[in-house]
Amino acid sequence: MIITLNGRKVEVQPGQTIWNAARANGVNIPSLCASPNLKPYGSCRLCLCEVDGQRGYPASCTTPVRDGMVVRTDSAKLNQLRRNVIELYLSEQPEGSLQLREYAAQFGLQRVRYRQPKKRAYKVDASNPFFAFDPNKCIACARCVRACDEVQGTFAISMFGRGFESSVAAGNDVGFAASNCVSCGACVKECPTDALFEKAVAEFGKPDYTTRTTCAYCGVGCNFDVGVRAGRIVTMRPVDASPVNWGHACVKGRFGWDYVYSEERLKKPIKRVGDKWVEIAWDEAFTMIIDAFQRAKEKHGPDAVAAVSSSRGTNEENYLMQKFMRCAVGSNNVDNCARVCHSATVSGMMEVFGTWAATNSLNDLEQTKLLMLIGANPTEGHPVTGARIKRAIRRGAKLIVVDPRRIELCRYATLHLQLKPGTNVALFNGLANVVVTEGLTDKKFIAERTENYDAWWEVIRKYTPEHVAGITGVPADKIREAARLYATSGASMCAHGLGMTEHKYGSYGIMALCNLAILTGNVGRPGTGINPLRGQNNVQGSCDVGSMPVYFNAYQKLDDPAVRQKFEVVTGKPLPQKKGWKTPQMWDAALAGDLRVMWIMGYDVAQTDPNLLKVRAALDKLDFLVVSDLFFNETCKHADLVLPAASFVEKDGTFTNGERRVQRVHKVIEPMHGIIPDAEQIFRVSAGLGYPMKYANISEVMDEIAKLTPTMAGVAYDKLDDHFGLQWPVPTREHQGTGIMHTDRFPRGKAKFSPAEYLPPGEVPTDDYPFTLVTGRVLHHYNCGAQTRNSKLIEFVNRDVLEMHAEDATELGIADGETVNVTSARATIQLPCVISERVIPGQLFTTFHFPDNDLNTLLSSSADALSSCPEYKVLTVRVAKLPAKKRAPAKLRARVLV
Amino acid sequence: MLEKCVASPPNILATLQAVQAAFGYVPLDTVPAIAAKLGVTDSDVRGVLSFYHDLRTEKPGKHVIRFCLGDSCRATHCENSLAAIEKKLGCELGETSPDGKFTLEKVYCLGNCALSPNMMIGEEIYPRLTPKSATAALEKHK
Repeated sequence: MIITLNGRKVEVQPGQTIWNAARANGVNIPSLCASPNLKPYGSCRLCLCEVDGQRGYPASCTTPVRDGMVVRTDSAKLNQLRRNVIELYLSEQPEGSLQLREYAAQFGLQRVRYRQPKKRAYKVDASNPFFAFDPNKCIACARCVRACDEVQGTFAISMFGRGFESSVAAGNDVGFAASNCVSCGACVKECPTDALFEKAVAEFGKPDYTTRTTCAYCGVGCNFDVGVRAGRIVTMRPVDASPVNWGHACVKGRFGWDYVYSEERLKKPIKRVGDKWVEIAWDEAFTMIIDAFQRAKEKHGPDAVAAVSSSRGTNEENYLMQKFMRCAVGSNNVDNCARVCHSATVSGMMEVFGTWAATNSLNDLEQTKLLMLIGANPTEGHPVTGARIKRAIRRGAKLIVVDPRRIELCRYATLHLQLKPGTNVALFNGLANVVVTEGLTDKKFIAERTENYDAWWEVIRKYTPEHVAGITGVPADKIREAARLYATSGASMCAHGLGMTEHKYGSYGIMALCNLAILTGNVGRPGTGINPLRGQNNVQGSCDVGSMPVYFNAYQKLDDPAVRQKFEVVTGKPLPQKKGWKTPQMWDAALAGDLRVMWIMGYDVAQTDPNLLKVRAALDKLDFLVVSDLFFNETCKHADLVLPAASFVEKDGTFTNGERRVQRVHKVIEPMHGIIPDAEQIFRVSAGLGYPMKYANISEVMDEIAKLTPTMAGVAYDKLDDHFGLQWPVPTREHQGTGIMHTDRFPRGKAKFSPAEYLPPGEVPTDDYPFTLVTGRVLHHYNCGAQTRNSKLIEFVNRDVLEMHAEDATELGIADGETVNVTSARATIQLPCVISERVIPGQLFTTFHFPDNDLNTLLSSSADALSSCPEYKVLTVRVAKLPAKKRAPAKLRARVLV
Repeated sequence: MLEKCVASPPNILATLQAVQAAFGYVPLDTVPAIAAKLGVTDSDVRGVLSFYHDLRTEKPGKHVIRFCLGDSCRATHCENSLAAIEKKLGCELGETSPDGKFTLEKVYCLGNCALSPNMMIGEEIYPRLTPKSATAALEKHK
């Protein structure tokens, strides 16, 4: 479609507004209320234009383009109208914001003719730790309100009052902090007059320049422009054009970077001398590690050494750590923290598809007709995806939530299957049973693209809805309804979190889910597939680059001669063949005296691994433990040497998000306190052990990864910078990446129906331990909390709390907020108890962000049989009251999103 | 009570009107309960509540006077009657009389301009007001 814009013929899209079309053609029509991220609204009256054949001066932001339209956006008359509009705004706020003053100058406004009836003297709402609202600067354009509604879907703010009095207020006019606002910052980003402003920008000034990078919190992998003023980060703004977050963010990514400047950060290497910690020089620290590793190798062999790298680290760091272990030390004893989250996803998907990653992209949420969300709470764990799911629902997609808890998204769900924890396998077998018995299968897909159907059905036939209802507690009619919805929507997508994997039979749950997808042909098409929501920023990548004890990069087998040869050409060293220990096995080995020396990087095992008493005993048994981290974490307490690490803004590299997108991490500032970044630490120790690694810069590490990793063969830094990353498989240098996998064939050829029988979880409630406790995360904190506890995020939530149903609390005589004893077969801990609608009677929920609770001492070592992924999600406990004076927790701040 | 007030299908304005009909006003601290019942957020409800002048958030007197300040009533000197009422009640526009009997509110047109000046007490309209007739009208509402 062609229109004439200011005398120039330009191409526009049907349905576009004049304002957006002009913007796309490089003409910025003055405006305050319009935003490319929001629906047309038309309140500020600045964007008026002239259209041939149309009376008056239509607002360009609400007027759609027509073919052949002749539009002028600049004329003396328009300038006068705009001047008058700005004059009216300034009549209410004579000082005006920067934007208003700029427009006043642009339109030639000399003075305001109106006398002020009364002066604005509203109170600034500075209750939120990260941003504030100054109503005196508000022009009531409602961009913030629309952003909260349309982009974030939280509806926390509204226009209050009318006329001169209209302004924005949060919740029941209680201020931002006390309202249901989730501090995503969408409103702040949209505000055209700085009425909503970031406190850090107000304190340190607007940025001089920005550097683009990838967020280091969850596996969504949002793109941000990091604003720097005089060498200091002052803001992180989400990137509008990003295909991952489309200009949106969550509180952690947008504001929770302030831990970088925390005084609590480790600054110098410290070594243990008796019961004291002594600062030492970096050189001395490296010598200590080299000596300890050398000694252990000589005395006990290379397999007495192990390393654990971090899914919070870059691909390059993870790659280097495994290369160091395999080449410099000579052992496969290297693992990363993906072991305790999505390892079961890998083993389950490997079995059915022959692959280990999300089949589709986040953008498929725009196309799906039905989303089945299992064991995930995206509005807290993956908030940008959570907001996107809400948008998909408003667009008309259906939602089935499978979760023991009534999470926030249940409000929008067509169905909520509230199953008993640990009964996933039975439920998905039950759904498959209904699909088959009601004739809803995709026969063509099954015939052409799958195998082993008959053997599978022999197992599944007994999982009738009634039988499954008995196991799961989900009524049979709901199971039938869910199966029908999933099988018949036309495009059904599954997204799952750790509620699928962290079970004794987690891998089998994944298989049961994948079976359901291939049974109904919901793989290999837009808006379908099996999509794990990765917990940490680089869970995907840390495994892709081989930081695993039983595989090389991209799950290539250790004992495949062709693979070994390919690696040895690059590494110049024969690689160890013996399988290494997975993290939980490392603890057994340490306790048995087989493992002597460890290097743990960016992973707080002494807080987040299960059965903590055992983990800590294992750590204490080691001859030498070195920990690299941003903060002095729980694991450091067991170390001999602690190295400070560089944060994500202090180094170059890549993260791979949950949709397989390899994205650049750009160094924004020099490492604080002269810290030597993790990769350099590995180089120094490796060289000391006689295996120097030679790279001119970090991009060459990625070139080497590409050479050894078939799925990432075409990945290189210059290509990543051109695009917003690349989604693997990227088989060649020319390849543009793969949004949807398995469109024609599966990596293993045909998908294999993999029968999985339901078996009860490791623990079932008994008279002694009548409650089932599920653990998870909250919005304002991230896993072990090292980053978020050292951020102002702590002002939102400062404790883990135990969520309990009101009926149980009444029965036990427990008051809201009262501290209680929680006892498992292993240990007893204390937690403040909060009455919650999210759990059903008999079930409890808590988070694992704060180390002082020692939550994971409660857990056993029970883990998934195939992947060793710990059974975090089913734990039986009893709850008891404390003596009266111990019941009140100190200054409890907590929020339960419902 | 709230159960009865929730409009079907859920509608914020109709619900707030029902709450006001039942209580005479919408207490601000009921907003979260109303929002929860309607499945919307506090700010949605509070936004609507703050927009309509007819919705009150403070307990009114026994009778509500809606005194018209529209153009037609102004042109026929309604201010004389208003002054008489204010004097009689001992309160100004927007306030409630000290004895709690009357709340005096302004409106901008009652749609009865042919018979200006006008006011309403409760649901009853009093046209062609004079200071005398206006104060006399108060006497009828005890």
